[in-house]
Amino acid sequence: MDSEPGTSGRLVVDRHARYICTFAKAVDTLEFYLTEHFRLSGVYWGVTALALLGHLHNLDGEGIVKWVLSCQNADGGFGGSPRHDSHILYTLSAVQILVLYDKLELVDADQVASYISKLQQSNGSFIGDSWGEVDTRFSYVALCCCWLLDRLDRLNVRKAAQYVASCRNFDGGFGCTPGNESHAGQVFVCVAALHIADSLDLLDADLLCWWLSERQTAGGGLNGRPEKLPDVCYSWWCLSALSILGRLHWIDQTALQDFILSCQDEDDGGISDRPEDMVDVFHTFFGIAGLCLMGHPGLKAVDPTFALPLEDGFAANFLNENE
Amino acid sequence: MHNRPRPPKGLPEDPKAVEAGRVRLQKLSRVCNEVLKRVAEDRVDEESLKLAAALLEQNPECYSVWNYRRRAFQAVLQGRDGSAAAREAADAELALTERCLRRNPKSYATWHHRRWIIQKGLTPLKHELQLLGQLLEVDSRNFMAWAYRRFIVALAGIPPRDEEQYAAGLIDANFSNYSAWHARTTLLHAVHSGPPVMSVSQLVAGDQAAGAGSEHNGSGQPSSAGASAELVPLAALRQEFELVHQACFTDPEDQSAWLNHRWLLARTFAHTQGPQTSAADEGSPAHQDLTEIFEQEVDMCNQLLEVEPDRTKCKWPLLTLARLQEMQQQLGLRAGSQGSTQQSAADIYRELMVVDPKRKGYYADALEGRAHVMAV
Ligand SMILES: [Zn+2]
Repeated sequence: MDSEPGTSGRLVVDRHARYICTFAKAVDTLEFYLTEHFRLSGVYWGVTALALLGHLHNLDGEGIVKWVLSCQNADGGFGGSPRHDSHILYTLSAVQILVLYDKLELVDADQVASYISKLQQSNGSFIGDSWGEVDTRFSYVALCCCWLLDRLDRLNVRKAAQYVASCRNFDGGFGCTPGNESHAGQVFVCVAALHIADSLDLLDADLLCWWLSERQTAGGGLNGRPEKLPDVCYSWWCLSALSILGRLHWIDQTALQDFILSCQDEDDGGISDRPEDMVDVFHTFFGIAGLCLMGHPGLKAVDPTFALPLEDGFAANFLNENE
Repeated sequence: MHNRPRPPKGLPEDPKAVEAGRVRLQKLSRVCNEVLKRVAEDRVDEESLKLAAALLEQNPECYSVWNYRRRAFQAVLQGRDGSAAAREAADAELALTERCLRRNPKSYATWHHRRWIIQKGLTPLKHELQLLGQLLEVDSRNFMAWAYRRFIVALAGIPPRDEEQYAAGLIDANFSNYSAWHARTTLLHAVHSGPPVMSVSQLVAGDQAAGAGSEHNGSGQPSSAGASAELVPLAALRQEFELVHQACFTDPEDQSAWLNHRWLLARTFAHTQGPQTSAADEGSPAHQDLTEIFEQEVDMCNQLLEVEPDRTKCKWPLLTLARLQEMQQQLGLRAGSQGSTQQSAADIYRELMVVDPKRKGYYADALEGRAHVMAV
């Protein structure tokens, strides 16, 4: 049915699942070498998308967990793949995958939390690794990771929240460090970080959500900044923040779902940034997760803060029991 | 991946392209495997560094290879006396990152490596501003380039007024440059009241890990640099309104200027709040000034509405008018001379639900008093 050309409007669930599984197995491609340094995040996007599609069983979970563990370094952090140095970004991806498979007990939570807590600076910010790059993305990663590990007490949460708040701009949005332009991706990490830190009072929800609602373009898709083109990945960045702040109804969800569906490759599966472009795992995940937040039929629910499936399965139990 | 066209379906594969892809894969996998092997062995020699550079030029986000280069050059770069070897190494790394940035101007890892080198304090900053000028000319919205620019501006001690003029020039060239509008909001307070919005220490605070150089570092508390709560003088706000008006009249549907306009209105409204202001007192010069500003902005919106008969193109002046009326009402101000012919804020929100249906939910909440974007 869903192979008829030009009949967009249905999510081709099975084809997306097949696309992700095919991608996961392709190890001798240009793509593989170009993405090796962030493969752990790629695997997180892939398995989470599969779980949201209800197809997690299609991949060898045991093998994936084993591979994830092989990315851990002596300092307690995880690299983007076994040949890479530890970085806070991939440490979160590893923890998220382990939560998804209910295998968190396979890592030493104290050791991982210790790796993360050492990256916090005196002003509350976080550096991504020992080389000193500062970004509010890392603040989210640190808070999210330590919450999932039940080690939030290892961080100075109040200072972390204050640093995030110091990155707030004239439009209510957030940038990567103080004074830098608002960006929907950065808005997601800052809102989710403040949510985990129980500090949502540090943002202006009305102003921020109105700015986010203005990200919706004429065609229904969302952009990440004013006067930019729409892109499927912002479906997640904008929607998760709107969802956490209880204002999903400030955008046209039907128009957005149509836009995401128009970016599917209906023959071979996968979702792209825009209808005319090539699909990839990143946009496939963000498109599907965005649809989940809007309650699209046939998909599982997703947690907007931790970006993990909420229904059925281990992650759901975990999230419910901690919240 | 972004902006890579989806190949058409059902066409036979071009054998030339297939072969080119195969060759590229073979080359990339070979250099990738070789470099990562040498990195793991901690092998530092001219050939290994050259190979690593070649890989980074193809794949600049390969962060572990930048880490390897930093480990390799860390010791020599500590020669702060400006030894020839240290300067040579710094120059070579800057040249490599420049090549990478020209190919891929949105690579976090490359920008960070460049920042790390610059923090060693071995190289003049003038070239940084030239490079930034060129990259921002190619893409004036590149937020990574803007972030790096703020870092350099603070490091070089460039006065806020100069940066404000740089931003003004970009806005003049293109009213739709939201990045430049944003920059103005971070500079306005500093330009009109002296002390810099951000200190160098705030900008680089946090860059103090064991491996990072600390020559230019300090530590400081972050301040809310972007959304300063300090009052901007009304006279300065008047000037800003003039600039925004030009943009609004040039393209009334471009949201860049209007988002800035909302902020200016909120900053104006802020003069009526808090103990340090007199604008709330009727009869005070500040109150007079503020009343005038609000009336002038109402007039601007009305002028735009008069020249545009198509209401679907009038969203921004309509929305602004509704918010102005709410503020005027809150302050007990009379709403302009042609008050009788005006729609109420509630009527405008109802019209906006039709004119701009995608944001119907927001307008409904605003109508019910559940959404306030002018809070101080
Ligand atoms: Zn995207």
